[in-house]
Amino acid sequence: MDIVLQQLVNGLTLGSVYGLIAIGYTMVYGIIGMINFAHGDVYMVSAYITAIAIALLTFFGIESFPIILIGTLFLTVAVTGAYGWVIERIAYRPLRNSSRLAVLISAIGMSLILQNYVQLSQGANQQGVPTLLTGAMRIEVGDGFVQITYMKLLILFISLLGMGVLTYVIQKTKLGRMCRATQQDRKMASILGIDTDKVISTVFVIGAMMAALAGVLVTLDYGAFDFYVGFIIGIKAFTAAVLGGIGSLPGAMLGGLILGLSEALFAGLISSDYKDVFSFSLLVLILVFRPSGLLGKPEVEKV
Amino acid sequence: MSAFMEFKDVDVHYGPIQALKKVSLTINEGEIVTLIGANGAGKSTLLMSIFGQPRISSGEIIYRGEDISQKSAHYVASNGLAQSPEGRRIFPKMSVEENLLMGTIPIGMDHADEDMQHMFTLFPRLKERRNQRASTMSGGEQQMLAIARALMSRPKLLLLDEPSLGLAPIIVKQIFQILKDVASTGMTIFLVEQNANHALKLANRGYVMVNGEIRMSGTGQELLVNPEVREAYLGGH
Repeated sequence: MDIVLQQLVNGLTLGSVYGLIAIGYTMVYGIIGMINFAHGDVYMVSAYITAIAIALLTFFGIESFPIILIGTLFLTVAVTGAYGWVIERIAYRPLRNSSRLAVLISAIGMSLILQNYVQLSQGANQQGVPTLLTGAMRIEVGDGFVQITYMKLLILFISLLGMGVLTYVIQKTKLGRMCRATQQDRKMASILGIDTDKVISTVFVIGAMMAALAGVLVTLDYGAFDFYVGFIIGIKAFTAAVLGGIGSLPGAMLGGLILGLSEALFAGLISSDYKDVFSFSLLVLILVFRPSGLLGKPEVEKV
Repeated sequence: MSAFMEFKDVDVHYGPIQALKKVSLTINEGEIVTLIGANGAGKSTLLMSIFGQPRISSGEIIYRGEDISQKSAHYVASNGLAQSPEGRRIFPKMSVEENLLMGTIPIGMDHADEDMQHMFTLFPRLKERRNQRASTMSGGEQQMLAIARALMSRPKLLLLDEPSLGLAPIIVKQIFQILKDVASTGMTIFLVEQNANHALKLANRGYVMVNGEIRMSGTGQELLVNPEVREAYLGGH
C-alpha cells in the first residue's frame, strides 16, 4: 500500500515535469504543424544555464535558498526563452513555406547543433549542482510511511503554477486569443491584422520557457546532467504530448501526468529497468488505438 | 468623391494559369461598389490579392494614395481594411464573443464593449449565442459573425466576399437589409457577389467579371436592366 502511494507521489512530480516540456511540443505542433525535435535539447541547455545561474548567484555571495531559487528561475527562463526565439528565427522561419519534411530535418539538425555546441563549450563530462534544498516530510500510512521531499513538493507547486498561469494567458488574454486564432486559421488571422510570424515566435519562446522551468526544477532535484539529458526526457515529453492529443494544451498537461504516474507505478511495482520500455509501449498502443490522443480531435482534411 | 481604392491593370497568376487579366477597378469614398460574376471568374482572387494572398504579378493596388500590393496582410489590415472572406472563416473553436474580439486587433480594445453591443443590436442572433462555440452555429449565423467581426475593426473600407453563399433566401434578405443599414452610415463597401440581383440593387456602381477580366461596368441600375447581365446572371427574366 505505502509503495503505491509513494510511487503516486513520485509519479505526480515526474508527470508534472513531462507536462511542462510537453507544452512546448504541443503548442509548436498546434501552430505550425511540426514536431520540434530540438525541444529536448532546449531543456538540456536550460540545465546548463541553471548551473551557471546558481554559480553566478553564489559568487555574488547570495546564500538564501529562496533568493537563489527565484534568481535562477528568472535567469534560466529568460535566457532559455531567448534560445527558443533564436532557434525559430534561424532554423524554422526561413523554411516557413517549404515542405514539412524540410522543417523536420532542420529540427533534427538543430538538435545535433545544440548538443555538440554544449559538448564543445562545456565539456563532455557530467556536470552537477550542489543540493540546495534538503529535508522531507513523512506521512504515516498503516505500517509504513510515504516520504515526500521538500524539493518534490516545490517541483509540483512550481509546475502547477506555471501551467495555471499559461492556461490563463492562453484562455483569457489578447495574446492567448492571437495564439489560438493563428492556430485555427493562420491566413485569416493575418487578414485580421495579426502578425502571425510574431505569434509563432512567441509560441516558441513560451515553449522554451516552460521547458526551462522543468530544467531548473529537475536540475535542482537531481543534481547531475550532461549534454545528452535532453534526448530521453524530450522523447518522454513528446510521448506525453501525443498521449494527451498533440496540439491540445490541456492534453499535454494531462498526458504528462498520466505518463509520469503510470511510469512510476510500473517502476515501483513491476520493474524499474523496463520503465522506458513501458512508456514507449504505451506510445505505440495509443498510436494504434487512439491516434489523436486523449483530448485531441481527429484531423479532418479541409476541402 | 475621390478614389479610395484603385486596382490598376492587375494581373494574377496561379502557376501557369492567369486568374486575373489587366483588372482595373475604382472604389470611391462612401460608395458601395459590387463585383459580380460567375463562380471561378476570379472575384475572390481579386479580394484576397488586397492582402497579398496571392501576390499580384503585375499592376498596382492603390489604397488612399499608397501602393499596398506588396505589403503584408497584417499591415493592410492595420490600415482600415477589413474583410468578411469567402467561406466566412470564423474561428470554429472560439466563442462568438472571442471571434468578435479578434476583429479589434487593428484598433485595440478601447471600443470593444461599445462596439460589441452595437453588433448585438445589428445582429440580435449573435447576442443569443454570445458564449457559444462558433462552429455550432448555422451558416447564416456564421455569416453574420464574419461580417460583425469585420465591422469590429471600424474599417474605412469593408470588403465582403459572397455573404449570400449557401444561405436560405430569407437569410440572404436579412443580411442584405443589415448591409443596407451599415451602408447608410456612410461606410465604403466593396461587395463581391454571385447573387447579382441583390448586389446590384444595393450598390451604387457595379462591375461584371468574366474569366478574370472586367467585361462591363456601370451604375447598379444600368447593369440591372442590361440585357446581357439579365441573360447571364439574373436568369433571363
